[in-house]
Amino acid sequence: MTITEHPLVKSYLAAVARETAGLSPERRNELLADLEEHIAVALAEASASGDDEIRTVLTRLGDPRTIAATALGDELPAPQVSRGRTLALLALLAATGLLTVFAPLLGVPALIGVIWWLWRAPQWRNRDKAIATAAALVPPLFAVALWVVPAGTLNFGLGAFTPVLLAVPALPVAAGVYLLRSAWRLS
Amino acid sequence: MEPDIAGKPVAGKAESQLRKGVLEYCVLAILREGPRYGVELLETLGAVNVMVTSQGTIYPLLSRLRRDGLVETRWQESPSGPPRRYYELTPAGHAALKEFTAIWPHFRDAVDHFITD
Repeated sequence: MTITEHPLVKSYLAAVARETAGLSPERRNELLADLEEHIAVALAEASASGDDEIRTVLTRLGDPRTIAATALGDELPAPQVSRGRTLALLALLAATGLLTVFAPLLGVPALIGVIWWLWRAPQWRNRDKAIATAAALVPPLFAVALWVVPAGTLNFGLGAFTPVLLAVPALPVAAGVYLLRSAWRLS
Repeated sequence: MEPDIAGKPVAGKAESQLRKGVLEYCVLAILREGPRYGVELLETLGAVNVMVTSQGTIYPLLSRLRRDGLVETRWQESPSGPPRRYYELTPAGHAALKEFTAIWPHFRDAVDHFITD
């Protein structure tokens, strides 16, 4: 077992990773690699690998929040985003996603516009944006599927169809809630 | 002034503010002697009590010095443990240290002038 797989070290590094969610991935990975190296070197030099020695090394490294605060202090201050804008963006995302089902000519361009706005917004990580984009694309893809597949062949009975119909609008809504939580956690 | 939630004495705050300003020059000064890796650098800094309270905070600082072009890094194998990331002064780092070294005595004297009865 390498030292980074030790539960104490893993949970310490995980705490640093959690606290530095606001850093760029490059900076965050560098910091985690530096701390990982520090722990391994400090223990190798003490010729120690017991839990007590590991605890000592981690205690001297300090509170993950303190390290994160130092790292984040160097980062350009995060742009201030009003909650109103966040809510408006998410509401539009959900609304245009649904609009594509009922009025594709209007909804598709609108949805493209909102997704473009989403990717330019600073308050989410790319992973969150990808999740939201995928969820917002579900209703239009569903609409396209209904339109392309010849009528009748998709007839798998009302019993199976109802859950699918419910899931189509539920996904964008769930994505909206997820993004909302994510934006508030990061800010 | 923001309230001191931790309830630490004011001296702790002053110390941390001062440290923030000078720590990077102490790091540059240690590197003047030659390349060092993180743990080594911290041992030297740790020999003087006030300089580092939370060792891990040195790494964001070193990262910034590297991005500012004041230090360079390279990895070197070691007979024990993982490869070490060595930090080394660049010409810009030498220049920054020289500048600080010139300013510091005046700064120290000025502070002494005001706080000494």
